[in-house]
Order: sequence, then C-alpha cells, then structure tokens
Amino acid sequence: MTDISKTHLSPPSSSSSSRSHPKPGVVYSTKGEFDIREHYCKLLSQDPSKSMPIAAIESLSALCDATRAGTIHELMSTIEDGAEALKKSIPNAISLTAGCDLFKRFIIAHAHDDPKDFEAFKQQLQANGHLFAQRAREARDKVAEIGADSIKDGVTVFCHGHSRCVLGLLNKAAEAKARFNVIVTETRPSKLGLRTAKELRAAGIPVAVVDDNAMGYALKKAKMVIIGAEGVFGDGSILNILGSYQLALVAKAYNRPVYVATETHKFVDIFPLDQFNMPVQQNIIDFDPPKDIEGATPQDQQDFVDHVPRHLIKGLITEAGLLTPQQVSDKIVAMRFE
Amino acid sequence: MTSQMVEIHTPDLKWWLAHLENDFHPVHSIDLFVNTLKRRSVRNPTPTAVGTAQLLLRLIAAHKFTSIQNLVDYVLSLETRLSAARPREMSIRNMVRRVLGIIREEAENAGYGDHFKAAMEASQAREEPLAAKPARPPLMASHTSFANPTQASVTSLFNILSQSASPQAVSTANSPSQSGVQTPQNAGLPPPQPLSAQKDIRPAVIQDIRELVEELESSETSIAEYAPQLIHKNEMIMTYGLPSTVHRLLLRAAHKREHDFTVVVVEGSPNIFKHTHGAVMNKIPLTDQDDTASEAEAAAVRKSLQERGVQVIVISDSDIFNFIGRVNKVFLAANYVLADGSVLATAGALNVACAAKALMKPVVVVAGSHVLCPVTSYHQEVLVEMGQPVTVGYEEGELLDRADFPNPLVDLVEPQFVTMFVTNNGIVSKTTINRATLDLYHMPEADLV
Repeated sequence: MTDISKTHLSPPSSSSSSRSHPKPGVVYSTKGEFDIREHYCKLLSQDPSKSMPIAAIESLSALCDATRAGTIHELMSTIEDGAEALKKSIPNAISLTAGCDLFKRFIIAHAHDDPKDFEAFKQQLQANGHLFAQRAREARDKVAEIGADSIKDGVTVFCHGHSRCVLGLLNKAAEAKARFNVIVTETRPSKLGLRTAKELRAAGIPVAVVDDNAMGYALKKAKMVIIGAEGVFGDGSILNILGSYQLALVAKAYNRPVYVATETHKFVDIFPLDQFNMPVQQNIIDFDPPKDIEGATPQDQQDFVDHVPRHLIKGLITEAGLLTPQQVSDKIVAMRFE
Repeated sequence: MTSQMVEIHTPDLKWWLAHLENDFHPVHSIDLFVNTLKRRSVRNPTPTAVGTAQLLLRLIAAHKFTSIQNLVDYVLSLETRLSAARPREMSIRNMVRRVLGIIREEAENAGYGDHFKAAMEASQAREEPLAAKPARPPLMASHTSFANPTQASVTSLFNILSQSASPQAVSTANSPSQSGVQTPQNAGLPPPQPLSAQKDIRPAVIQDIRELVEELESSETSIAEYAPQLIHKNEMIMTYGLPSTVHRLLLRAAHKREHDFTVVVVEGSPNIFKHTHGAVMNKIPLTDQDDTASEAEAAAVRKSLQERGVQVIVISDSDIFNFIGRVNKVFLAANYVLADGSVLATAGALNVACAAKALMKPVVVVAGSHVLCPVTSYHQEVLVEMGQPVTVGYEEGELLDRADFPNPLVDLVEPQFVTMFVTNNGIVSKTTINRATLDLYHMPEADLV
C-alpha cells in the first residue's frame, strides 16, 4: 500500500531509489534511461499552476529529446513506453492519460507530414514544447470568460475543492463587477477548499467556508454549484476531488444546477462504470487500518477522487462553449475518428 | 395572444408580404420591418421566420455585392438590426443564420470556402474590440461559432497541440485573441478577390433561399406526414390547445378514418383558449394574430376532426392532472427549441409536461426546423416573455392598484420533461436534437447567450 499512499503531487522521495530494479516510472532503452516520473513530478512542483495533462505532455516531449530517436517508429515506441511507465508509476493516472493520448495522437497526425525530414520534425516538436503550457493557460482564460456569464448579481455559488478553472471563472466574474457570494467546503482530507477560500478572499469575494458535513445544510442557500474536473470521461461523467459525487447528489435533490468548469485537454476516452471500475487506486475504505489510527484513513491524503455520473451534471463549461454531457460524449467519441 | 385590442387595421404578415411584392425598397423596407417587429404586428415564430426570409431574399437579390466578404458583412449587419428589434423572437436570427449557412455552402461549392471563412473571421475580429458588454447582453451573441465550421466539432480539443507551421504562425498562435481558431491554415490566405473575378454565387444563394421559404411554408404538412408513426388506433392524446402544427398532425392521423382516437384538448386559459375553442369547431377566429389568417382559410375547406371520427374532449387547465392518467401520450407545440433540448412553449404547457412526467406519459414536442435555435444559456428564464394581463381589464382599476397581474406568455419546459421531437426533417430523440440543430446551421457549437 505504500505505493498508493504516495501522492503524485509530492516529489519523488529518496527512498524510491532504493527500490529494486526496474524502478517505476523509468524508461529504459538502448540509448540510456530516462526517469519520466521524476521529470513529471518536478514539472508539477515547479509550477503549481500547471495541470497534470500538460505536465504529462511536457514530460513525453522531454523524453523524445532525451532518447534521440532516429526513426518515427522508434519515436512512437519510446512515447508508448514513456506513457505506459508514467501511467503505471502514478496511482491516479486518468488526468495524465488524457495528456499522453493527446500527445500520441498529435505525433501520429503530424509525423507523416514530411517523412523525409524527420530531424526537422523533432526540432519543431522541441520548439513547440513551451507552447503547451501557454495554450493551456489560454484555454483556462477562455473557460473563465465563457463561465463568467453564468454568475449574475446576487447569486451564491457553491464550490468544492480547489480548481484553477473555477477560480479563474469566479475571478473573472468579480472583475466584471458581479456581486456574488461563494460557499466553499473545507474539502477534507486535503483541505483544498481552504486554499480556494483564501484565494477568493484575496480577490475581494465574500466567502463562507463550511464543514464538509454541512453540504446538505448549506447548499439550500446557494443557487448553483460549480466544480472543476481532473478528467472528463467518454460518457460525459467527470472525475474530481472526493466529495464531488456527494455534492452532486445533494444538488440534484435540491434541483440546483451543477456546472463543471474544465479545459478540453482533460477529455479522456475511457468509459468507467462507476467509482470502483476506474483505473484509479485509492484506499478509502480500509478494514485493516494501521494500529493506533482511530479516524478515517490517512488524513494527509491529497488526491482522493470521486466519479460524478453524467445525469448529475447540468453542463460543462469548456473553452469550446457550454456543453451538455451528451455533447461532451459526442466530442470524445469523435476524437477517435480524427 | 390577446384579443383586447381595438379593431384597427394593423400591418400583419399578409400586409408585409404584399408590401415586399409591390413596394419593396432595399433600404426603407428594412426600417419598415424593424418597426413592424417592434410593434409586434408580425410576431410568433412562423410569421416572423417567413417575413425575415422573404425580406432577405429580396435584399440579397437587390444588392450588388463586390465580394463574399461584402455579402457576409451585409447579412451579419442585418442580423444585428433585426434581432435587436425583437431579441426574444429567435426565429429572426435563425433565418439569418440559415441564410449564412446557405452562403457558406454555395461559397464552398464554387470553391470559395476559404473566402467565406476569412469573411466570418474578419467580421468577428472587427466585433471583438466592441465586445464590452452591450446594453442588452442576452440573445445577441457573436458569430464566433460560424468561424470555423468545416473542422467538425473536434478541433477545439486539439488546439493545445496544434502544430505551428512557421515561426510567423507561432507568433499568431501566441496572441490570446486567436486561441479559439486554428490559425496556421488561414495564415497564408490570399486577400479576398472582388466578386467580379469570382463566379457570382448570388443566383445560387437566391435559389437556395427560395427553397428555404418553401420549406418553411410546407413545414406543417411535412410534420403531419409523421402522424401515422405517432398516433395509433384507440389512443387517447392530450394536447395543450390546438396549435395549427398539432392540429394538422391530428387531422392527418384521422385521415380517411384510418384511426379512431380521442383527443383531450386543454383549453389553455387565459391566453389561448379562444383560439382553442375556435380550432375545436374548425373555425379559427380572426384575431389580431396574423398566423391565424392562413389557418382560418385552410380550416374553411377541410373536414374537422369530429367529421373524421375523432372524439374531442375539451378540459380546462385545472383538470390536467385529472385526465392525464387516461391518456397515452401528450403532444406539445414548441415556440422555440434550444440547443440543449429545452423547449419554450405556450404558458401552461409546463403543467401538462409535469403531469405527464409524474405519470410517465411520453411527451412529443412538435417543432418546425425554423424554431430550432442553436443557442444555449445559463439563464434560460430571461427568454420568457411577459405579456399584458388578460384576466383583468382597465375598468378594474382598483384591483390593478392593489395587485400585480403578471402574464408570462411562454413556459420553459426543460429537456427532462420531453421524450422526443418531431420536426419537418424527421423524428429526433432528445439526445440528438442538439446535433440535429447544429447540423442545420453548420455550426460546430451553440451560441451562449
């Protein structure tokens, strides 16, 4: 279970090097080895505003540089290996799967543009590396712009966890001089809600922080729910921080619309059945907890996630507009035929 | 909707079409139509759609356009002017959008697809500096969605990795204003040539608009063709009022006594009950409502529902729940259908929809393709229009002093209440109405208003 408790946000600890060969998250090839997991974690810790799919794309891009592939097939297999190694070494790999898939599709689409000039293609890939993060930021701004319209004067918005898209959206609405309040949960065990509250207060938005247990109590005072997403699945359902499912259920009971603010690069072609049929390992229900722990399992956990099915979602605010889950599903399926 | 108006001759659709026939003027007619719309003397989805399409047809025929850019700019400026006159009458915008779609199609057929795209982007770019919130934000969305229509719905997903072909393209991709559009392909586009150098697409466009007008006029008949698939022997159907689309559908189902069925008509007080009573008698009262004129003419020559062996039951609005258990299905006529499947229907229709939902009765929404709006909204309640109170008159001044009498003219029926849609292009499930709507206008995504 030690593997699982290791969060993908924390930089790799020194203890991981003592592990037996082969080390997780390292790509071995004839041309040397590359620790893609370390690179990925470094990128995330260096720039907290970077999202996981983008870090995955940049890591794969760095891997391409490091392995000095001579042919397109070599490059493709390196990327496959890298994506596989990265996914295996991170307990919740859904978000970065979206990034890896995008990158792979991109290579396939463009590598054959000019088969003779493989070197130029690689150079171009390198040159474009820095653009990814920037485009991601642009996408987030666009989401904020589209979503800010949803905030009218006098509404109270209910939030959960910490999402850069949601924060950007609320800030944008505040900049546009909308007068609104925000209720945000503490979001235990990660307490990311406190971070949201702090950042919103810094922007001058009135915020009430409520206990997670107060979801049902407090939601009645809110007009709408806006949450972020770690990943968006092929059926239009989403993956988000633990508690989102509960929030969406309460919102359904009160008939409050649930909007999900997310960029389209988090769309991933996976169809999960429910919480327990997803490629995510998390040890939330533990019948055999460590001795002398009375409370819920690890309180320092940052990355427990929840699956919110599509029928609880009113709309997804993306840079491609306000979409219904059905439309999102259409788009993700259409990606296959690109 | 109301019959409280004094008998004065108001310019209706018939008058407007006669005007276009006889005294059309490329400039004054626009002003006249704007005023007509503002006075609400041409109103309701179908008449405004017909009026707008006919006007566009004549305007495009009357003007000389030097380039596709010119033509697109002109149509877009018309959209702004006309829809500003009646922002909630969305069929105006729908028609302009259909015409834009036609222009795009013909431009592509003639090999000028890039010119159309460039024109849309140019006009969008010109609009952007003015993007500061207009005084009346809803219903006046930008035309962004048209900008890149050929790249199916997926392009946006690839933005993040879109290849930059040249360093110069990289720099354009960097500018945030372009983030939504794939720049590289368009970067090296030649400047639009004058139309004289191009093949004139105008005759083709005009021909297509004629077809659009014909489609509009035959919309109800086409919808009625689906009747045998929707209504079966010995069924009991509930409708809210007898709007002409639903009426036609029922008449078609009862054609030659193929089917015996019963219709439960909710009379729809206070706004539409006079129309309902008239329709049940197959005599449409000639009110100030201009779409009733043609309906009345049609009614005069056809057999009524009763003559075709249909039993008709008229109930008041308060009896909906009482009767809903006995019916097999519910038909509602849509004023407008939004991209997510929400329906704007005559006020009171929501009661029927709720009752049907509570007893698991299927709700069939009847909508001509001109009322499918490529529009989504966070705040759909702004689309609900209020009318004058009809239950109290001016003579009841004291009552009016003591209370308000709001009269919303439409209900917003959310998609959860709807089972399926019947349009003149076919029967559409509620999950695919979005795709059907966007395809109709060649738009990759709906406008957010």
